[in-house]
Amino acid sequence: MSKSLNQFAIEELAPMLENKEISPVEVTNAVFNQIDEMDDKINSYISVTKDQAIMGAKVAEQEILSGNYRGKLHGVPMAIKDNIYFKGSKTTMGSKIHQNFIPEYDATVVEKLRDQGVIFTGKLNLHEYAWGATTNNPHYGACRNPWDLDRIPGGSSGGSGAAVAAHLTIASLGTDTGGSIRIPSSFCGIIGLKPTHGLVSKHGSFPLAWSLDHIGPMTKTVKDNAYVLEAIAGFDSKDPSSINSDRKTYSSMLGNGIKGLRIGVNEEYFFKDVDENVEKAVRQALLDLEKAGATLVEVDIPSMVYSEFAELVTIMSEPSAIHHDNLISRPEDFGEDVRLPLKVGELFSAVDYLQAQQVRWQLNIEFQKVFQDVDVVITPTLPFLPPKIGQLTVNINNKKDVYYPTDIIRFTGPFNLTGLPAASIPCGYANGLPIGMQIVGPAFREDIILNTAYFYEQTHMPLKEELPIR
Amino acid sequence: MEKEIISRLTNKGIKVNQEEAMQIVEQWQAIQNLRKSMHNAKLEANNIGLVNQPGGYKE
Repeated sequence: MSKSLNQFAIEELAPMLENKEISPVEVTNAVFNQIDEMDDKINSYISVTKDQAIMGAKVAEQEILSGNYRGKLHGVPMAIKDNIYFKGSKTTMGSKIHQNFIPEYDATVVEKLRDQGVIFTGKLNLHEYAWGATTNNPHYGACRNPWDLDRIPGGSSGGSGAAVAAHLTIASLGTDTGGSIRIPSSFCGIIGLKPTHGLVSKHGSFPLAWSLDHIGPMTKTVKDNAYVLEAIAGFDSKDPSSINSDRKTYSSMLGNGIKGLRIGVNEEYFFKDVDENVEKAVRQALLDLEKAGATLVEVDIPSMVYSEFAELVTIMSEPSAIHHDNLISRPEDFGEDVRLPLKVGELFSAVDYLQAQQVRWQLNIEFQKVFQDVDVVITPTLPFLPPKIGQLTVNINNKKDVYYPTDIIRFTGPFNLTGLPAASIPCGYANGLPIGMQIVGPAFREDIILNTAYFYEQTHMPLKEELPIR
Repeated sequence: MEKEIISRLTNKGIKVNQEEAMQIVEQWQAIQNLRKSMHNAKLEANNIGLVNQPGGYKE
């Protein structure tokens, strides 16, 4: 069966667009056909911007026909999480409180993608204010996992993960404060990268917890991820946490193989209380990488044991500071699953918060030492498979019930605390559901992460399963 | 503990009903269990940087 254009990756579409074999209008129409056909089941979009998209696609078509091809993203449809600002377009943050908010400016990442000629198909569903990992949104409806419509896609960028997996857009952007790019990427079987803190500007995205927030690409393939990352990375004076690092063309740094790659593995923290299917898939991936020439090295990170407390204190206190006034004046306008943690976040002391920041610093120092001995660290992205919508606990290996809304960030959160870059890539399936493996690198070495991910992807293509829904 | 939590929140002007109070207490207790691990943390007095340090760390 031949693929329709919305099922292609950027790396496949770009040469066809550049050579004028297909038009951006055809690709954009294919995406909207899929949205019409499928999104009432998945609910990945909060708003669809069809008229503007078709208009933009026609402009891109004319530019390409007249020889002004701007690059790999020119004429490619993308959709953006609805907490990233679009000038003049409703940006809801998945909330009732901001349901009519219309930003007066574009986020820097949106500006950068516009400059590359991206066609925006709409704004994607998320957990309210990005404060949660289910995307079971009380105001805009639950987003569903394309692999099993009864299950969550993860979150908070659940719409971004589900839309890419179900070919409802070609690529997307998410935000990540405790794992919100990597969690839905793992549950939906796509590639998601949380870049180094400061590499991608956050100007024009609504904060969840400002010291932990990141923006990053969510894509069908590793090369697509590199294309989007190189378009959105770079210093921005409007973001106080932005850093002026070297510009890299990540897509040209793939395909270098992994011979001699040193992979750090931390058994004590990252392989404890993990679903056996997840553990099996990640261990197999590590063995495969070892067989291909990598070396596995056990690494010691003593402060990991404090990371859960540090993560919870920080990720619960900062949102409570942001939403404090609304929590007093209009608490009923928050969904219950956001209102409760906002209230819990009010209980921490200044000493709690500052000790959490001390732990972060300590973790950073320990990871600096780790990355003297290894090139990347690999872990499971998540301790379990996607839970059912509405479920609050997950049973791990018939031994232990865990309250998953907090346990879900156990493996991803440490890299928000440290700001280190981390990606989730698919490494297997169990019960028809995708499993993700997390690859972490030193600060600003997204190139090593993507090269490792690319090698794995290229050598494990047969692993790719077809979505059960069309 | 429930009374204390309700009082701390209401003193800030935040309303809490009975059902919420129970859930908040449950979550707060789970956090207190994690806090226990902190008793063994040897936090360095010098590690006082607020770590939204661009790049995740500095040399």
